[in-house]
Amino acid sequence: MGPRLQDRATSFAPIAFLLLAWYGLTRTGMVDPVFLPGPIQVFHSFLSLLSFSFFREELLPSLTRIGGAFLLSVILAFPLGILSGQIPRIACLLFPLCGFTRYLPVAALVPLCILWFGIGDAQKIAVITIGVVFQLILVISADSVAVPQELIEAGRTFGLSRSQVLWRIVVPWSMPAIWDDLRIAAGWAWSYLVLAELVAGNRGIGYFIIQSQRYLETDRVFAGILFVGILGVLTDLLFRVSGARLFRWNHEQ
Amino acid sequence: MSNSSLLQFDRASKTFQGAKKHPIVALQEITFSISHGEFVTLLGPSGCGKSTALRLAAGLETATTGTVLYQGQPIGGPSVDRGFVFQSYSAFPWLTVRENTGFGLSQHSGDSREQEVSHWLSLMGLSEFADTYPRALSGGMRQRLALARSMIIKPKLLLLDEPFGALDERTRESMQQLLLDVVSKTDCTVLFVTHDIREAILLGDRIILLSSRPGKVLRDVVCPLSKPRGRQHLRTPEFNSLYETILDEFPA
Repeated sequence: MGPRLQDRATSFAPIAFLLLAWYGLTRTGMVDPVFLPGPIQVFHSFLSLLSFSFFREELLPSLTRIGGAFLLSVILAFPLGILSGQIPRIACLLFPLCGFTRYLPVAALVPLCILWFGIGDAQKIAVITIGVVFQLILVISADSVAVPQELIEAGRTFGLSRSQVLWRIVVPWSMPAIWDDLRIAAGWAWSYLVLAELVAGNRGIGYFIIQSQRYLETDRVFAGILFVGILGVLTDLLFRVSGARLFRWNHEQ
Repeated sequence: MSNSSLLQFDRASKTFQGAKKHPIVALQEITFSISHGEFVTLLGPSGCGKSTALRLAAGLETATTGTVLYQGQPIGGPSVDRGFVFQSYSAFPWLTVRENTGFGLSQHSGDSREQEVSHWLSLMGLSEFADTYPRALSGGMRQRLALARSMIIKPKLLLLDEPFGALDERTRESMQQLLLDVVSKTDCTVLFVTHDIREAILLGDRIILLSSRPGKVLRDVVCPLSKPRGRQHLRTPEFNSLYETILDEFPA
């Protein structure tokens, strides 16, 4: 067994163990399937989700919300993060606010968001954006501040103005790290999306999960959770693959 | 004040705020001037403020007291007129070697720009690496790239901050030769900072020796070596006597 194969086997072991334990536990009949349905039953429910109506009724609304909120967060956080990394005065302006708000529990803000934005898409977008944007400003700022000084100075000796230095030096240099931050932020966004849909639902994957729970269709609850997990992994993969392609200069050895 | 001087330091001092607000005097009232077309080496021990002097000339720092004039005007900030080659590798890692070389030409139009870039790439022996990223280059090649990127925009004054300090002996020697060749083909004025006495003598038409911190001008000598310069000069009596003279005065 080669070392790589060994690594793969090691990575797979805990998952296999969990699945086996799950299967064993539900096979004995000691656990009521309402509390814990077996993996095979969950798998069947999962397959039944892969239908046009589920995609249209639940997936599409969720994707629209997370896409909109993520875009809004990036539009806000990207310029503010880049600027605060390079201009101390802007950092002074933003950091105390971001440092505080990022510790506010997003879950506790959901009731306020319902009060202000109702239970439609706006409320979901608000919850996700509040959860993501302040942290994102801080991490993008940390990328922007890390630009090597000699690159900025080199740019200045070529007669670049301050704004040209931002566009031609700071942004391209920070992009791979920012891309990686966006990948991680997308993970947060999925959590906040489900949270927002669970408590104030009309359609969406979170709504599907809570509805299934209300009818004690626990296998569908599991299937919904699994679905979100897979979407999260796919988002992650999308960022990794596109990042490696877009920023070849940073990856090739 | 002579009219032919391109760059002029007039009792220029630079003080930095150190830890606990302790002022650190990096340069103390240095005065010298450089004429059009001269190749001047600024020599001194580590930490003597010679890099600071160079940064003043570039406009990356401003003098605390005194003045630094370029073409008779106070220097307000960096300018394309004054190219700068850094000690550390300063190629833009997200651009290919070709794109790095043409960086300063971005405002220019397509065809002539491509030609100019190709010309400099071949002059620096970088043609076959044109489409790779800088991280694939060796230290010597990175400094050739930095030189190409600065020289391509035809600066009137080229400022170099110990550009070959991190290179091995052989590479440094060939880079020194390359720099002399490239500069001799232009009317570029050069201010070259180094702590290496041999390098300072071999390259400079004039050698300005600075004291340890705070940097003051100890000596300003004209190099007696004939041109074109090369390693054959290293064993001449003129070289040796100048080397000994400077070594005697070189601050510990």
